[in-house]
Amino acid sequence: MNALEALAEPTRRRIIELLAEQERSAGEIASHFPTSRPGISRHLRVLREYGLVCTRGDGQRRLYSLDPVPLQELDEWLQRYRRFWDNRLDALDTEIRRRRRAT
Amino acid sequence: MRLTRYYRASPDEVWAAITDASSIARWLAPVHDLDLAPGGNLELKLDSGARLLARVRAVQTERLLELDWTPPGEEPSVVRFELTPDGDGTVLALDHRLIDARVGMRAMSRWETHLTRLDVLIGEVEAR
Repeated sequence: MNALEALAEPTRRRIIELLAEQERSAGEIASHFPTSRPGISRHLRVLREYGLVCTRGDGQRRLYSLDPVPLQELDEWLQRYRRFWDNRLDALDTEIRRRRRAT
Repeated sequence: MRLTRYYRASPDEVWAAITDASSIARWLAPVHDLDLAPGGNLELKLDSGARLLARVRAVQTERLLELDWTPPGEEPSVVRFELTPDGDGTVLALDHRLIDARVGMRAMSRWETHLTRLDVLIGEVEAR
């Protein structure tokens, strides 16, 4: 498994969304899911192992937050596909107009 | 990855532009082969001279075209065009999903390339 496959799992993706809003404890994260607390801990461990989230201690609690670096790299990569289709869909607009003028 | 666009044209006009070979050549890439029946092939000639092969997964005239999308050297991903009438125009939703994770990882882990190169160098030194 790699970081992208780690993100393909719906629960982990939802965890990432929750952490995108703010730093949270494992308990807070678990409260958003019907899954058992140990299940959520396993997902958090996977996300940590792939460097997608990081943790810091806050007294008794451990707070989870997003590690922005891999996500930025992922985003840059997806941007390439986005730019490709963005350009093509602009060209499609031109083509639709051209066809209309031709008829 | 999902993009949506509004075109000031009816769904049949947009559909014609995304399925007609001479139109595809103008907005996407020159067409080498085109058969838009389910299981049919769409083959595009890329600037590099390589061919991109797309196979029709699903097709519903003026509504939906879903393709297995295989650029040269990449694992297949899925590209889906979906048309919805909207007032005087048409909304096109383009979905490009199941993009091979390994392609992403190659782009993501620049450091990995450096490490591999380092391994190769170490190997060369040891082989001497």
